Amino acid sequence: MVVLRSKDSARFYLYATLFLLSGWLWLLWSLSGYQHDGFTVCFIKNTTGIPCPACGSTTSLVQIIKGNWWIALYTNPLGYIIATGLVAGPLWLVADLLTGKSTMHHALYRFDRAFRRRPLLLLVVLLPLLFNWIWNIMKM
Amino acid sequence: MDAQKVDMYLMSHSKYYESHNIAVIRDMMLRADDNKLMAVMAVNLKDPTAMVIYSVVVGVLGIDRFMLGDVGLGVLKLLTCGGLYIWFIVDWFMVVNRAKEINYENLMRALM
Repeated sequence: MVVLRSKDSARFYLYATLFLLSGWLWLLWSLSGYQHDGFTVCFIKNTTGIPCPACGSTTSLVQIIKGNWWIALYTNPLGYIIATGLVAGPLWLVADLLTGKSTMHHALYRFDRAFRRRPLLLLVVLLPLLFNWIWNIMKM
Repeated sequence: MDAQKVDMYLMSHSKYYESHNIAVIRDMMLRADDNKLMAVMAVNLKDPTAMVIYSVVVGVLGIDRFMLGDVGLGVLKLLTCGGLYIWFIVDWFMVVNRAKEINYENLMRALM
């Protein structure tokens, strides 16, 4: 196992906590009945009129929580990936905190290293995202 | 390695590394064999200034992170609209240091 600097790990866990916390706060605010009336938080959509790859993921998350799973999938399938991250992320953080290990940081390091060694793997990640983006634009 | 060659390299490439690492790099290069020079010159260095431009222009899609090889963070940034635009702005300031850090790691790998 690669030994990561404890200073880097501490910084990683601080950012990961803030990141997940802001994600949950954003979701809770969206669940409280926020309506955007055409003007969204997305800078790309507001300026160009074209949705970004992640546009609709908040609506998708809200629909998942309401139990409208097909609507969520149609709105933006990325909502399911984000939902998994929002549930699994805090659990993983707590598990690392309790065990004193930095498995989350190591997992991200190994993930990045795999792509540095085999850049073609990027296609596996980026192509589905690209198709989803095209689908997102077509749904407008 | 010859001291003159090392100093020439450092003079022309100092912007790619953090200033506190220059002394370590010089020391490592002086101790390295002459045949390592080609490997050092072939290291793919990320231009910190260019990375800031990428970060400002296409950072919201995580492309700056993809370019630095931080694919995991790039995907996260892409999926979350640049971390609700907060991370996107924070990265304008962090990407320079990250690029220099990656350059240093790549150089050390070439010198090993």
